[in-house]
Amino acid sequence: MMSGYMEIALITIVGILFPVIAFVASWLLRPSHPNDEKFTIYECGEIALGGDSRKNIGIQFYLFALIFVIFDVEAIFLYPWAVSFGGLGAFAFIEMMIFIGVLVAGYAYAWKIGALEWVGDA
Amino acid sequence: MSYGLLIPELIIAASALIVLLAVFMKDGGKKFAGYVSIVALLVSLILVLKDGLVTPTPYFNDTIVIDPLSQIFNMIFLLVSLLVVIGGIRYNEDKPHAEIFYSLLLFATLGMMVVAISNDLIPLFVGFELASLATYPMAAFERTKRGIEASMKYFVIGALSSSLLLFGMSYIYGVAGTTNIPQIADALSLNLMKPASLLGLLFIVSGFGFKMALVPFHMWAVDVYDGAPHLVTALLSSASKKMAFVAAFKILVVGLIALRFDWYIGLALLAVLTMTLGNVVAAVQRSVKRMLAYSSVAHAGYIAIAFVVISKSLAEAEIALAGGILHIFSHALMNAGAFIVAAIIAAAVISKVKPGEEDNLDNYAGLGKIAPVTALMMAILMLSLGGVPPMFGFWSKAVIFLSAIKADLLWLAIIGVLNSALSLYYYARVVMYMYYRDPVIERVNEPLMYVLPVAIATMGVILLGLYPPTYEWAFEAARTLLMMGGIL
Amino acid sequence: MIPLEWYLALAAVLFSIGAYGILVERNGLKVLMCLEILLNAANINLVAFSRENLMGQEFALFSIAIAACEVAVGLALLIMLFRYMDTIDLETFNILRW
Repeated sequence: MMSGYMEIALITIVGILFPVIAFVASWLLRPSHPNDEKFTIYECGEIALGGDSRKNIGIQFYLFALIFVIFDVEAIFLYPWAVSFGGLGAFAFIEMMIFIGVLVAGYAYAWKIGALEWVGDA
Repeated sequence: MSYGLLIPELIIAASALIVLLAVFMKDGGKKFAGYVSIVALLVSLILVLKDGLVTPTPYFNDTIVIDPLSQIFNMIFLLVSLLVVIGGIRYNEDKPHAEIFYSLLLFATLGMMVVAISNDLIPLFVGFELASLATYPMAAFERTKRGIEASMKYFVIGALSSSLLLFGMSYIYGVAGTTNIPQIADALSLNLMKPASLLGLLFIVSGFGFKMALVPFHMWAVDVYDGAPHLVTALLSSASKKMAFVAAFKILVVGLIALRFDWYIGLALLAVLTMTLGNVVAAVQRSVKRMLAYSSVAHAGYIAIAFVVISKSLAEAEIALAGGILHIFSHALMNAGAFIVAAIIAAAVISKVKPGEEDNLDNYAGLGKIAPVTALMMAILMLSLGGVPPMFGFWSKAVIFLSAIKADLLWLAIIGVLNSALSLYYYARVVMYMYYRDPVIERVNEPLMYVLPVAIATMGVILLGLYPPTYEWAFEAARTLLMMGGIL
Repeated sequence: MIPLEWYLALAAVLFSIGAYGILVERNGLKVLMCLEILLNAANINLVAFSRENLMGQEFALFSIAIAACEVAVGLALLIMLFRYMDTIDLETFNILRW
C-alpha cells in the first residue's frame, strides 16, 4: 500500500529538483549581457500583448490550436502500443503504421488547403 | 484467418482518404473525387449484396461480427450514400472544396458500417461518433446562416446524446464487467433489477432517443433537417438516423430481453406520441422540406412499434424486428428519394419562381408539366411514404402492424393505421399540387445526376416490396439478433 | 483502496454539473466545456469500474481521443459561427423554428 505512494513521492521530489538544478546550473554557467531585446516577453514569435491580456487574439491561434489538439491527443494510442510492443509482433506494427499514415494524410490535407499558412494578425 | 468479409469497410476507409488527397491534383480533383466515391460505394454494395445471408463470422477477438443483420444495414447505408454521392456530382459543380464533402460522406458511411458490424460497446461507440462527427460539419457545408445554425444545434444535441450514451454504457459495463454485447446479455440476466443496470439502460434509451429523434427528443431533428443542404438532409434522415436504430437494436433489444422488463407501456407511449406529433405537425407545414422532416419523425414512431412488441411478447419478437428492419429499409429509400427531389426543385425550378423560399409547396404547383419525370417519381415516393399498396412502404408498415396485432396490441396497430391515414392527407396534397395546379413557368431541364438517384430509389420502392428475398433477408437478420440476445 | 462509491459519486456530480451547464449556458465555448465535463464523468465511471479487467480503461482511452476530436469539430464550428455572425452566443439562433 505505502510502497505505491513512495514512488509518487520520489517522482515529486525529482520533479521539483529538476528545474531547480537546471536554473541554478545555467545561472552559474551563462555569461550575463542583458539588453532590451532580451527582456521582452517571449510569446511564440508574436509581438507581446503586454499589460492587460483580456482582449481578442487573432483567430489563427485557434486554428493552429485545433490542429495541434487533434494530433496531440491521438498520440495516446501510441503509449499502450509502445508498452506492449514486444509481445505484439509484426501485425501490430503494420496497424500502427496505418494509423500514423491516416494522421499523415490528414496533415497533408491541412497543409495543402493552407490551414497552416500564417496570414498575420487578423 | 481471412478478412474477405471486411473488404467493403476497408474499401470505404481507403477511398475516404484517397478522396481527401485528391486536393493535390492539378484541377483540384473535384470530378475525380466524385467518381472515386461512386465506384467505391458501388463495389462495396455489390460485395455486401453477394454475401447477404452470410453465417455469422467473428473478427478481432469477437469485437466485430459480420452477420445477416449487419449486412442488411450495411446495404442500406451504402445504398443511401450512393444516392447522395450521385446527386453530389451535380450539387458540387459550383462548390469549392468538393473533396471534403465526399470524404466526410465516406467517413460517415464508414462509421455507420462499423456500428452495424460491431459486437462490442467500444467499436459501437467509436463508429457512432465517427458517423456523428463527420456529419456535423456537413450540415454547414453551404456556410449560410441557416446552415451554420443547423450545424451548431446538431453538434450540441449530438454531443449531448453521445455523452448520455457513454454514461449509460459505463454503468452497463460496471454491472456486466464486460463490453462484449452477448456477454452483457448473459450478465444482465443474472443481475435483474439492479439499480445500476436500470440507470444505464435509461441513459442509453435517452441517448438513442435523441439520435432516433423520438418525441420528446425530436426538436433538434426538424431544425437540422430543414437548415442543412438537401443532400445532407437525405443522408442524415435516411442513413444517420437508421444507424441509431441498428445500435438500439443491438444494445436495447439485448438489454431489454435480458432484463425481462415490462417497459412496453412506456415505449408504446413514446411510439404513439412520436407518430402522432410528427404527422399532425407535418400536416400544417407549407415547406415541403419541413413536412418531410416531420414525416421522418413520424416514421421513426412506426419503427419504434417494433421495440414495444419485443418488450411485450417475445414470441412475436422475430416478426416485429423484421418489420422494423423492413420499414427502416423502405423509409431510407423513400426519404432519400424525396429529399433529392426537393434538391432538384431547389436547383432547377426555384430560381425561376420564388427565390429565397426554395421549399415552399407553391413551387411544386404544376410540376407534372414543368418537370414530368421528377413529378412522376415524386408522386410514387409520396404514395409509398403514405403507405399505399403495392409500394414497398405499404408492405413494410403492414408487417409492423401485423406484429402488433399478433402481440395483442390491437389498439397500437389501430393508432398506427389512423396515423397512416392522416399522413396520406399531406402526402397526397403534394401530388395534388403537382398535377392539379397550373404551372407558373415553362418546362425546365431536369439535371440527369439528380434524376438518376431518385430513379434508383423509385425503382426500389416499386420493386423491392414485391421481391421475396428482401423479406427473407430481413427475417434472417431478425433471427440473428435474437440469437445474440440469447433467445431462439 | 478508495471505495468504488466515491468514484461513482464524483462522476455523478460531474455529470450533473455538465448537464446543468448545457441547459443554462448561452455562451458557445462554455457549452463546449460542459460537453467535455459530461464525457469525462463517463470516463471516471469507466476507469473506476475497471477493477477485474482492463476493458474499461481501454474504453476510456478511446473516449478521450473521441472527446478531443469532438472538441476540435465544435471549436471549428464556433469559429465559423463567429466569422459569420460576430458572436458565439447561442441565443442568436432564431431562424429555424417549427
